[in-house]
Amino acid sequence: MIMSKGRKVYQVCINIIMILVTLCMILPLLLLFMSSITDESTLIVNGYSFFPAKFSLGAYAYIMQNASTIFRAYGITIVVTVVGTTLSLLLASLTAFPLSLRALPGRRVLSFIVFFTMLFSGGLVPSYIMWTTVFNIRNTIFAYIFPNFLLGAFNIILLRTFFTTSIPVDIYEAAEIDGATYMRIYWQIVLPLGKPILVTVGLFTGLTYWNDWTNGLYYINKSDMLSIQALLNRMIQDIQALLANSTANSGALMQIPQVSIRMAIAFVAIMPILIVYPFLQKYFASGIMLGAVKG
Amino acid sequence: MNLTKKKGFARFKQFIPLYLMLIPGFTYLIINNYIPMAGIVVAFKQYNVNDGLFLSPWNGLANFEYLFGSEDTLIIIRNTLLYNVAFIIVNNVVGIALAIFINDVIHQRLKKLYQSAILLPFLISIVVVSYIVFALLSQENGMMNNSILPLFGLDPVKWYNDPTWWPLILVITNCWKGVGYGTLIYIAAIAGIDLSFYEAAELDGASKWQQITQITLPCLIPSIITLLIMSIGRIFASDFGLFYQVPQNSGALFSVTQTIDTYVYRALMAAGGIGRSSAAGVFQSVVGFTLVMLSNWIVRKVSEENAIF
Amino acid sequence: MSKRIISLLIVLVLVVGMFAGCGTGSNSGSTPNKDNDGNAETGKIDGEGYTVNYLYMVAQEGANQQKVAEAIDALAMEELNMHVNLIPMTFGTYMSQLAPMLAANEPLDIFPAMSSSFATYIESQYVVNLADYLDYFGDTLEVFGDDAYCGYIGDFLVGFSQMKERGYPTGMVVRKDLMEEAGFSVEDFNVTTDDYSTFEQIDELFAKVKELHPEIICLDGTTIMAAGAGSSYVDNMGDDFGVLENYGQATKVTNYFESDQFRTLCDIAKRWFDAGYVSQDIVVNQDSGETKMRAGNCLSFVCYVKPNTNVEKLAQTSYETEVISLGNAMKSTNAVNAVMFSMANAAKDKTKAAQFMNWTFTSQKFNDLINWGIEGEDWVLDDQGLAAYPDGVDATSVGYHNDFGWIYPNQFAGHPWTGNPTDIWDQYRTYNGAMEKSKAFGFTFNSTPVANEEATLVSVSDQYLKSLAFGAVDDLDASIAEFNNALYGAGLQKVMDEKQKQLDEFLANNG
Repeated sequence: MIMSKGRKVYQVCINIIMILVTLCMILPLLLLFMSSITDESTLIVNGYSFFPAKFSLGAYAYIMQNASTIFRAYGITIVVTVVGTTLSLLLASLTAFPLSLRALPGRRVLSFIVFFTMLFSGGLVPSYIMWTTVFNIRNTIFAYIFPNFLLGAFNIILLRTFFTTSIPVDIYEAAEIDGATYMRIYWQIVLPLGKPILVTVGLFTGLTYWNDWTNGLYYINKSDMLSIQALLNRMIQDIQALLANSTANSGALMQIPQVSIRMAIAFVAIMPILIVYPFLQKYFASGIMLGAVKG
Repeated sequence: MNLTKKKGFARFKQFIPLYLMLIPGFTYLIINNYIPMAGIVVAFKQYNVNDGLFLSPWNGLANFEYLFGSEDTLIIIRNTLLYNVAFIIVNNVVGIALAIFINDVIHQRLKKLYQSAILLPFLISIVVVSYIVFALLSQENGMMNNSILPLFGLDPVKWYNDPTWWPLILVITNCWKGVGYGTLIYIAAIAGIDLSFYEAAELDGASKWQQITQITLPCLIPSIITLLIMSIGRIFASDFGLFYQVPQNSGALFSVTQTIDTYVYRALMAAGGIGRSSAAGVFQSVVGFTLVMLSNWIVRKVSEENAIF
Repeated sequence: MSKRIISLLIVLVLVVGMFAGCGTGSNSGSTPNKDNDGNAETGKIDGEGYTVNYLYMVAQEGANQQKVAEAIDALAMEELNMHVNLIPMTFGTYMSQLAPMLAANEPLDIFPAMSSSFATYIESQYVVNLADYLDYFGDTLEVFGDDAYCGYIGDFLVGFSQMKERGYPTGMVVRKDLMEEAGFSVEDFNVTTDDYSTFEQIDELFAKVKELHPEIICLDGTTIMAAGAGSSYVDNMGDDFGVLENYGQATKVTNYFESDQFRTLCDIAKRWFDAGYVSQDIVVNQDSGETKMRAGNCLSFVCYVKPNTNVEKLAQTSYETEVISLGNAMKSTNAVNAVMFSMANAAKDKTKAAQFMNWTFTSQKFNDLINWGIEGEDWVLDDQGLAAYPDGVDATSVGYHNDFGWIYPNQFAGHPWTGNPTDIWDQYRTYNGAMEKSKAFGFTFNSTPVANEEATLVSVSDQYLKSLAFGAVDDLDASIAEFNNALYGAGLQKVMDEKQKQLDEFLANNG
């Protein structure tokens, strides 16, 4: 297709805007990385800089003292993220599909019941009591998967809106005439056509699982069951407490880079995502293509 | 759907498979959300662990008193509301604009790059964001005062001492961190728009701008309304880290950074107890609930199919 | 249809909700069970195999944690016939997990509680009044002497403290090399609150150092004289709102932030700030003075000091330091009850838990085990009789090493670590004995009646105090006035009246 002049100008403009936006998004991350490899003293004296005067891998060296713990924690997080996200997408789409059908009796009430969970919450203590006493999830991998994140009203409603607006009713009717069951419609029509939003919601859920450290904080007190975020988070807090309270005999603590380690830890936490992200992108783009060719 | 001919139980019966599909999700919501909601009663109780949640003595609204004890209550509520309104507007406008731009980029590699970049800040915890903001605004060796402002011949600013710029700084920070979320949702929504609309418009010789205003935006309205109503439910809540850590807890900025959540956090340091902390949540929820009911009712009046429930 | 679904859900929620609630409500039994056997007077205690859940702080989870848990269990079995379930928690875990554990009444017998939480714990009945079990604390009372009474809030004995320093005078930690280079020695300084002009001696030091090294920041960190308001110059009896001035020698509760002393200390800080001796970012700085000094461009910071501060700061900053005293030492309740070992409501047999707790304050083996780990593996006695790493073991390879004596029951009963003087505990005792006691020593304010005011006051204090204390304001008097207006607006007078009332009662009973 030959582009008209107007189209060319438009392409150039949006690309310039997007490149600027992209820089805004990437540069701070780069600053984060540079600070993590800056010598501790330089960091405190000169502040954060893209071009530090003195480099040091001390922060990473300190973190990697516990390499085996770190890798086990990565493992736990990966399992939690994959299992959690898969289950979550399944549950959310299974719930959203019936709610997206305008003909469903009680649709309003049921939607309200879903939405209501976004507005009110009983707080930490009641759910803590329930999950630990009734379900006994303390110090198990389920402690990361089940409380809070498995199914959110937000995701259900996003999916429902997409299903309602983007999947034409006549497709369902055609399927029904063919004698397809609801389960088949869900599996063979709704899921494939809903791919753009499923990928998006899946990405959000995955990131939520990956980034979460609160469940680990409340439900895990065995260090070999810590997820990467819970482990790193605990590391930061413990370093602060240690440095504030250490006494004469803690000479070894002197070596801990207190400021740059926060950056290094932040980077260690997101590094795997940065590595996996380009591969996820493929599904992302294809999801959008698939969405675009339907109809 | 072709389901209106049957009557009574027969009509209901054919939906049974659909209700069955709801069971797993609703079971989870009941367990994870509704059962713990019983804990809301603690906001109205003088909790003690021997009597437990339900037998502890009632104490009326005593747990709520501290929320309204401050002379600054109105400022705090105003801050919370205005920031949320600003966040909703800015994030949605920027999010939609970026979604349209990214969707229109022809070069596939660049498109992917933009799409990835936009979500990067989402990965960074708010504490780390506060370090990055500090790297920019530090009065001793921040980039703003040392490199950027001199470039334009401007005087250094005492950023953490001067509330003037903070509403802007917070809106920008929040947009930077959160816009990727909305953008991706809108990209997905745009991907769901029937391409034949655009083909027809193209044939009619519609300009890009006309296509955006007459096809893309109208098709995005259901998504926009959904996101809007959901944000309204959270309008009395605020991201604690954004208002506490990003301004480095600087007292001089309280007039523009104190929100309900930071106030509650500080208050609970002095007077804890699960009754008081629950009361704050109930207060925020009730306001959010009221506003959501109202906005959903309005949407229902205007265009019924876009209401959430 | 829809109505039926809703009512069904409501019923379900209520039923299961009650069930979930009951789990928390059961095992109470807060009355003491004194008929029980094992009275301390009969000598040997028989714990009948009772399991004590003992929560304590650790620096990090070492490889030998399990071994230590087994050793302590064996020790308690031998001496008390009790099992011990050790619950080690790092600070981060403690801060997040303790509150839900207590609210859920999870199995827990003894835990360290922070003074800021006492009011909530009592109000919510998370802790047991140990006054009902005093019969079992004979040894503990002997160890603590009068200090034991700092655990009382009214008639409620929240817990017992640790053996450590009993007062925290304010001091300034200064890098020795820079100080000497500027031609000063620590003997040149005689700074006292009797004559505030003596603070100008520090100005001279700052000026000289700044002249020699313009890049050096003379004062950094997160605290300064007026910022830690209560603990050092006045007795604040628990919080900053209403204090006894003049090192607790007054008996009338006054507002510290209106005092001449507060204004003067802020003024000195302002002088330093305006002269550029202090970091521009000082008010929002979150890095401790130790961290700043370690980075190499910081001359000094202000902190609480004690006998061996120099040794400690060398470890934390890697610089030799000198300490300039900035005030007198005062023995106050705060210094004693900052952290106390309390008994949780969830303790199944409170008498046995009390007996165990009493034992932790006297057992040398117990205190060595939780602090230094297994003897022979994690530490050995050196020829001076001090604990030290065994050959081939160091700080990085040791399997268990906390060095948290200050937050364990009785470090004085255990062995000091090598590097300290052998008579370090005697030094502490002498130091503590020489301190002037606040008139309110032994009194702790119960803030429950004014909880709402306290909640608001914290916000006000957060808003103004730090900028004032560091002198980072343009017009000191105007800012102080504004601060005080906001405090009174938030109910300061009510808090002060309540504090005075409780203090008067205390003084009448103990006078």
